[in-house]
Amino acid sequence: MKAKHQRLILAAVALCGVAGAGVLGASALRDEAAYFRTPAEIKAGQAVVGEPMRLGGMVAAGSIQRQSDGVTIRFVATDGKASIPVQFTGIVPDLFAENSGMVADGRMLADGTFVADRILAKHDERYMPPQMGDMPKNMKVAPKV
Amino acid sequence: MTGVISGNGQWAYVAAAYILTALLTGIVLWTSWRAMAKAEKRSDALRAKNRRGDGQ
Amino acid sequence: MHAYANPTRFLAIAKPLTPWLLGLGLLLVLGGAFAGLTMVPGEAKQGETARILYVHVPSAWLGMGGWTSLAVTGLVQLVWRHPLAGIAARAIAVPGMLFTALCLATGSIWGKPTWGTWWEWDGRMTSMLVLLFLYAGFIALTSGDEGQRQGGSLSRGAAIYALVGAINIPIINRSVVWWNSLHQGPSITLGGSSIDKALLWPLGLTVLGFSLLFGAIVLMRMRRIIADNRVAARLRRLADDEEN
Repeated sequence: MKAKHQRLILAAVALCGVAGAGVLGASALRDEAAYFRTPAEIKAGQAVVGEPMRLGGMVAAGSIQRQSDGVTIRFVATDGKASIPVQFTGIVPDLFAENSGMVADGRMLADGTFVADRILAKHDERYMPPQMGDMPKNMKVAPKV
Repeated sequence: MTGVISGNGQWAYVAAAYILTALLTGIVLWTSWRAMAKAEKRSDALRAKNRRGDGQ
Repeated sequence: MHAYANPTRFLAIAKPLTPWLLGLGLLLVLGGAFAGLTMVPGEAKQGETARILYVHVPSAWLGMGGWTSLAVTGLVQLVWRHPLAGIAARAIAVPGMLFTALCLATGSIWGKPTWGTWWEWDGRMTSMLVLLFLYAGFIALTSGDEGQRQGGSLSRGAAIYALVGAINIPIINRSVVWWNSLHQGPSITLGGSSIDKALLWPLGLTVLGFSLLFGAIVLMRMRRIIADNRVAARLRRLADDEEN
């Protein structure tokens, strides 16, 4: 009985130690493990001009502008606290849209614009059935060829 | 850039995910079952042999 | 006698339970998959690809739940040295690794059309990949070891490995909250579900169904180890009889 209790206490102590180390490690990793920076973090100085980095945020409503070359777009990424203009040349995922999340690979320019090499769409945790009512409206937005 | 995934291409992804799941789960189920059936058969046969050996 | 009595009592429950888990599990999984593929509409934005949810979420739950049970059996082995603990741990490892691999694979297949990438090193995906490697390490550590030849108990090292590895489980769970990640936050929380009711119900079927199948696989693998133990014990006894 005594030996069993000893083993139990030993296991509990070891487990607490490991859990503590894990939590400490995880919180220390907080910045390192972040997959992207938000506009507010960048505005707070967490970006070096010209260094490769990732920017994540919502595409601001009404901000997507297609440039005259047809393949370059400009839009504003926002997290509600700060906004950063983004420029991207290339193909975006289907889910990329205004009022949706996105993550961009690229770098900051000195003038405060983010130039993206690649854009990923970020889906949120909501799963909704299609609203039959606004389907046709969405369809009309599809690009005319 | 419509904000919606559309087109028939998406069914290929769905099919790939379901087929992979069925295949791998099926393999593990089948091999686990086979190994169990074989081991239990061997164990039962040996027990019968033991009984005969003991003359019970 | 203690070591022998427990597996006997266990088998009295496990033998009739196995076909029930297997049958009911298959029924629920097939029903849930059918419902998820044909009876519910596609999602508003993700379209048909959202249906991958019905195999991805059960895999994630079982991959993580598998290691949690592995840690519990490791603890029971370490402290109480219950004869079934090590056997259960050995039986859990392979199905746990299976569902972790399926979680990663189905997630990757979903990520390509949705995010626009097969793989990114974000917190959720990286910590789940670590879980896969943890399973691989446990299997390598325990296959063909002393314990496998002698009743199926875990070595102290393997039991501690199972316990220490459990620290990764809350990290996986919290990764999307602690760190900015590409993976979305949790859809189902204690507060409710942000998956609409119309799309949610097949998920209940597949989560329950795959869980039952997981249970069936664990029972089958435990029965195999117990049968092997008995064969070894009888062969030893036969050899002793011949010597006498």
